[in-house]
Amino acid sequence: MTTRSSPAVRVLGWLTVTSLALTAFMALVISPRDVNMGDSVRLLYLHVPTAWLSMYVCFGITTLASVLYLWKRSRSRFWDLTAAASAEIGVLFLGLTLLIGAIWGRITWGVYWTWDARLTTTAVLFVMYVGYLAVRKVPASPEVQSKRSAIVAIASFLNVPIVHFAVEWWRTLHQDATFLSDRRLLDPQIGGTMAWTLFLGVISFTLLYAWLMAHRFRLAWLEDRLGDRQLQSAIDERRAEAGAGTGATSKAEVIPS
Amino acid sequence: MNDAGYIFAGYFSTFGILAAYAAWVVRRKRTLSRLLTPEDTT
Repeated sequence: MTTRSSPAVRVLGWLTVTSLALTAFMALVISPRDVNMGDSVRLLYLHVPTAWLSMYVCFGITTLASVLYLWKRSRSRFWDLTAAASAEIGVLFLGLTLLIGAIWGRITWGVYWTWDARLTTTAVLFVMYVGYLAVRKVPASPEVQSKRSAIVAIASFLNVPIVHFAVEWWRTLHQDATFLSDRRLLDPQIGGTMAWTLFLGVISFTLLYAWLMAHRFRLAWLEDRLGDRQLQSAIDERRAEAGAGTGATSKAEVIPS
Repeated sequence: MNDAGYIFAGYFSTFGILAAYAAWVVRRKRTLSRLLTPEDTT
């Protein structure tokens, strides 16, 4: 089997690198300073795409794949591995969201962290999905492992709407949504170069997610195959030992007589 | 640019972490591909 990616994945990789470089250039050089936030707005071109992707795309796909795994008519390892791959990338993106948000908070609020409703619910979501990845490592038969992981994934996703609406329900320090709210969808509080840079950031990180998914899914599948092969080897060895043991007993029985 | 240290720290850490993760995934995938036979992977 070849270790190289398919041409489509390689093209996707180059597109991703190019669009990420363009995003960084637009964000750091072209985009103007914000009237209120100043230069710290440049961090939001990373913060918003990683947050959007992790919560709605990565964890959304994990949940959908988990539901499809639990549904008997569509149950397959494909959905389980898809859920796992997407969740791991989602945890990575959400960790980056928290990291960039903390740096932005240090500039804007003067502190890296505060127990704001949005921040706290996001941190809880991060811990829940780290827990999901940990549950996947708990030893059990593959089917049991996949079923309980799928249940944990679906339960964890219940926190996503809470994170989304936290800024409206509790109205603490974190600002409202820029696009994804009833009031802002048709009247976004961003325009011109800043809107285009943010849009490009979302596209770039979506391409990155697709590229990472292609590789991470393949890796999960190879790990699964390797696990099966090791299990089969262990069974074969055990059988061989049992066979040898049976042979020895027979000889022992024969020799005294 | 004001707060350039914080802003560049944010960009370097983000792209650094993403690049490290991507490199880990690709390298591990290649290692496992070599360990498995074509029959295992079909």
